[in-house]
Amino acid sequence: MRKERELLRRVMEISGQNLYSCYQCGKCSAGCPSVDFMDFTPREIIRAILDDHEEVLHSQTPWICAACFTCTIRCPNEIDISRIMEALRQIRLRKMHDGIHPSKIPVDELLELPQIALISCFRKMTG
Amino acid sequence: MKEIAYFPGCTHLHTASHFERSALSVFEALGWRLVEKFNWICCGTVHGLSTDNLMQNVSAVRNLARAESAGARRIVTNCAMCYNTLKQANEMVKRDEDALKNLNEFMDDEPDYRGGVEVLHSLQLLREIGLDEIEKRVVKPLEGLRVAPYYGCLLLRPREVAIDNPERPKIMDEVLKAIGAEIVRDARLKYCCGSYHTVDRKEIVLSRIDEIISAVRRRGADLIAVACPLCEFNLDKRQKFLNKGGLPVLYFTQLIALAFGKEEDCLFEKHHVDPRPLLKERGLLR
Amino acid sequence: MPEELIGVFICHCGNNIAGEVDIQKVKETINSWPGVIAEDYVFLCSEAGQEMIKRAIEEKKLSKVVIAACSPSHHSQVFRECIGEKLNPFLWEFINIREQCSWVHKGEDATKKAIALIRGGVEKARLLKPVESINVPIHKDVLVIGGGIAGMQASLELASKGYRVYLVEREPSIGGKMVKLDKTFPTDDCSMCTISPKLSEIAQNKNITLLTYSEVDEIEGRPGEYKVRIRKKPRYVDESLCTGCGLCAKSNYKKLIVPEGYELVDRIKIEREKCVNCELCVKLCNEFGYGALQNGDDCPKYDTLKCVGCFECVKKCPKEAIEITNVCPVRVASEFNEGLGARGAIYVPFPQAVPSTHLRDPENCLRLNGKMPECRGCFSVCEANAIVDDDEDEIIELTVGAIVIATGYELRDMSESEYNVEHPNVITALQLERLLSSQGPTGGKVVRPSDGRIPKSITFIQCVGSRDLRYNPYCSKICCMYALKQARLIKQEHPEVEVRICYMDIRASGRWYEEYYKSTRELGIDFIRGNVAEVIDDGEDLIVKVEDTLEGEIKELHSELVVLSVSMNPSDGTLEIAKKLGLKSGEDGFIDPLHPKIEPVDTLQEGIYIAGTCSGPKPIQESIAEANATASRVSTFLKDDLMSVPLTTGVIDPSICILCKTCLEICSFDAVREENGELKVEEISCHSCGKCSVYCPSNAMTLRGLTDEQIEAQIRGILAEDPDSIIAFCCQHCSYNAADLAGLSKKKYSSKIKIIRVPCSGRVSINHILVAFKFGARGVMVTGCKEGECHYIDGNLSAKEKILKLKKLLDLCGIGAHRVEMFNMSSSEAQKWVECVNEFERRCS
Repeated sequence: MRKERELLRRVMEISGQNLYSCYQCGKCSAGCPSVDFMDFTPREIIRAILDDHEEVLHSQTPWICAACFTCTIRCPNEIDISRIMEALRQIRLRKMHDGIHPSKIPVDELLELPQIALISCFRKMTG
Repeated sequence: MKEIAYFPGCTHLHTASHFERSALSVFEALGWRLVEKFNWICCGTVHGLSTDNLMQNVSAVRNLARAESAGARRIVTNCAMCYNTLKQANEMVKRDEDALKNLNEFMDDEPDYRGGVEVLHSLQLLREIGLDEIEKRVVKPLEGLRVAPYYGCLLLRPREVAIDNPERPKIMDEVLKAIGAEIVRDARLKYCCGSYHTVDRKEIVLSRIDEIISAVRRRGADLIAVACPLCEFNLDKRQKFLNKGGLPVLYFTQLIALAFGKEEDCLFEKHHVDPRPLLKERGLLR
Repeated sequence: MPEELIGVFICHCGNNIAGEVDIQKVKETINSWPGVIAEDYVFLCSEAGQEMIKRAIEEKKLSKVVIAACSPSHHSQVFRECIGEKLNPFLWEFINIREQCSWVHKGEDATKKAIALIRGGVEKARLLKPVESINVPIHKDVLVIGGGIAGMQASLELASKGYRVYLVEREPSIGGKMVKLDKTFPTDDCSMCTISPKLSEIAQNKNITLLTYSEVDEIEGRPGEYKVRIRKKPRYVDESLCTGCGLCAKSNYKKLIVPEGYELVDRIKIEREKCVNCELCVKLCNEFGYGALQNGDDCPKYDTLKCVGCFECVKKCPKEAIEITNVCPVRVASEFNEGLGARGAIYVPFPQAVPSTHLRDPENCLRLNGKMPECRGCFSVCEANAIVDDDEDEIIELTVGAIVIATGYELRDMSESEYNVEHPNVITALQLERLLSSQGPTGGKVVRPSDGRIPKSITFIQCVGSRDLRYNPYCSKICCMYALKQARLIKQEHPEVEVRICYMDIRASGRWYEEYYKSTRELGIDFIRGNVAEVIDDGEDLIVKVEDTLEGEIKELHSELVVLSVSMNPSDGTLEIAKKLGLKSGEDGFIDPLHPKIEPVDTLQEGIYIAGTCSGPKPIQESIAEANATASRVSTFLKDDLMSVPLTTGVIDPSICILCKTCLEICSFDAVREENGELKVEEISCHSCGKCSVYCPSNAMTLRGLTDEQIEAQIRGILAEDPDSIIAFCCQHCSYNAADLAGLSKKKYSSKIKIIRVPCSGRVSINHILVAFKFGARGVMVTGCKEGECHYIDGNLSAKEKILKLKKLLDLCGIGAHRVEMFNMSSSEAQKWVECVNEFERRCS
């Protein structure tokens, strides 16, 4: 038998957020500046986690999220959605699935990019 | 001369040296010296958001511990990213005793951090110094210059670290108004610039900055003012991929320095979209 | 002294108590105590149970009674009346073995605790003394605070029952929010048409004294006799002379948005076609020394800044070419029209206002604020000579028997939120009502405030500030229905306008509501299920960002007008009166009824009743139903001429009183008086909180209803049966009820906790606590209301102070400061109660 809602349990544990309090209003998705690049809107991600759909782990959405906290400050249920995205990234990263390979960044870009861009990118997207 | 402990952050030594130079010059003109009082290291750039991984907050808290042991009660930084990371970590350890205890134990080579440091962004320090004081130092008011103050994410969000109302920020508007600029407002000035995706998914950044720049252009902005080296990089340097004619992007401190008559501290040449033709045309630069 | 016999009656409460507590064992134990006899019954509160008690008192010649049953907040009235038939109604004690025992503890623990609690009750009962009652008069007049629809209806209903009603309203007219509405759901009938007959009925009803533009400054006294001080604000127009003709308010101002502050406009207009440029007006104006009219090329030139409004030019013009356009040149945003459109500095809020007396706004009137002392526009046109400069606050003092609170709601301030309310074309639903209303600033045309044009697209946003933890966690109940109504009215009038409603759930529960929703949908209104993230300024237009959650698509709705269904908050008046009267309110600020289900219009204080939205969001029909219910409750309360008040009050033994006057100083109700060199408690003023008896250094002050000896006996009794207990003193207003609520929700905690009910945490003295330790208590908790919420003003603060002092003493004598603690909570905080007792129990073990 499948372990009941293992994904949901992990996400709630790592993010510290109670996903059950989500009433699926979509405020997070509507305000997200990068939602056009996402395959699932943040609201859909939460719904899928609640339903324990492991596929969300392969969604692009958490990797597109740059933790701008727009959803976090607007959630009417005070769910910190940035932390949910972080939890999804962490679950993947802890299994050695990095979102970026630093060696593949062209050298001229490396010379030009500010340090904070590189470091924040590596911190968010590598394990 | 008043003094305050200063956290420059990595970019100030490199790509954002014009931010630092103009900021130090502005504060000096206002009677404040920003002093590097402790052996600072990288802030960590992003606040760790998982409950079970304190490692991501070590570098921020290490800086706070060093600042505290150097006797600093307040530290100021210009970089919005450093501000956000240090401030979020500071709020977290003040809230969570266990986390602080763990971090202190982990950093056994440092003196214990006790939560006694306040983290400020330079805009907050300017507000504290007062708009009147800023106005008094102006020798070349930026009259007729239509500036769009870009706040981005990290000065406003999450709520517990916001330096102003996160939906209707005014702090940079007021400072720029005090030096005579005309303010252009738009909702997108608090939108994300795409942040670190400039490294791995440039297309996100280009779509973000296109929306932001187009919006303020429609409102007749002459230039954008920023408070973060990554925002500056994305909004200015990345414009070269937009091919839509350049809109200058300057640090707010450069604009104040210009108004204070300190052109030499502005280093306008460091921008991709050269602001000098515009400033010359407006008679603000020889 | 004859042998006393105390009867203990144990209730099974079906299985509620008997399911956990071994009744037989309890009974046997009690029967082993000297002078006590125990009986049990399945439902003591039943008719048969009560008969059994009465029979036992008679047959066994019981002198005192102990009832061990549910919580006194349930049935104390029942048993008081039952026992009162045979004994003095204070010769019995109520012990709670349900909420605070069988519902929260199991089996043996529950049985042991029940025995201890009953022993405490028995020991206390041994010392009970009869308490006499006095009869005090009930005044028959009623004060109704708030003149919205609820207050109006309550007043009319009470007046028709023959009561004299004083209706106090802080605004210049009665009518509240309802007079601002266009039509009302679900019937779409005109709001003004339904309310205006009531407005005039109130104006004419001889039993109603209407006090508008008035504030309730002070209320003191007791149920049946409240002394009220009302301050009537000056109108600067004589109410007895003003006919409400409206000449002074004449204006041709049409703008929807008044510039910030006020705008100065022309008082007169010269018609060029009629004017022959005779210059008579110029001559007159210059003769008077104003010079507001000067010679011009083909007609005189006018300067409103110099004109004082004598209107001599108008009267004397031989060609009648000069017309008055604005009697008062000052235009300020109209409060009645929710900031859309203007009023003068002299005005009446709306044409049907009651009273119709106009008023001058001293802040903006040029004559009153000193900006133009010689201004006299309104004086010049008033035929009744009603305008006065010397006017001041009038103080009115009343005595009433009962008070109805109908202070209503207001919309939550959403400025600086994601909804961009600062934009002129983002309006509240209440502003839209004013635009829809044929009496409104546009005569019923729905236009954009920025340019007065009919919008091509309108987006309604629901739950603005409601169901949102950042603002109001609750649902405002009426917004779905009024938004449906507004959308439908617009769509019916302008089918070409694109009307959308962004909603999360449409809550249309009520008779005819779902049908109303369905027929509204069918008009072709676009329902988008999603919570709006942001309203973006796009010049004059707006972009509404929302996820259509049914489609999973992000939409940017281009909108020419945005209407916000803004959440309802308690009004300032509601917050103020609740504070003034010490009424219980929730965290949301709405006033709590005595019971949310079965006593919806009573408050915790007898004699004070509520109606309408001061106790939570509700539609008009519910407010009216409540108002009628309230009137009925008031008349029930007022039916007798006298009410019996038991003298559970403080009493001073003059033979040991040292006249230190501590009691006189600390009494929050000024109930202690000095008379002929003696201190006396004025019984009617005393609230029986007992703070004085705690502070009295010579023990001269005793609380008749609860003496020190009785409290100490109860402590001793409990500890005699279970010495290892933690004594928890609980205030009857808050923590006692929180513990009951914990029982009701079956939240378990340690049976070591033994509650002693006190009127106020301020009743607990250091000595009581020391007695507990002396007889073996493991710890002592004192629990009271939250700071600032004490029902006796500051009893909880005095308790806190005592505990702090006592902690030092306990450390000194080796017991340890940690064994005593003060906790503050409200009556609804059951979880907090459990957390507090758990924490304290851990600390003491």
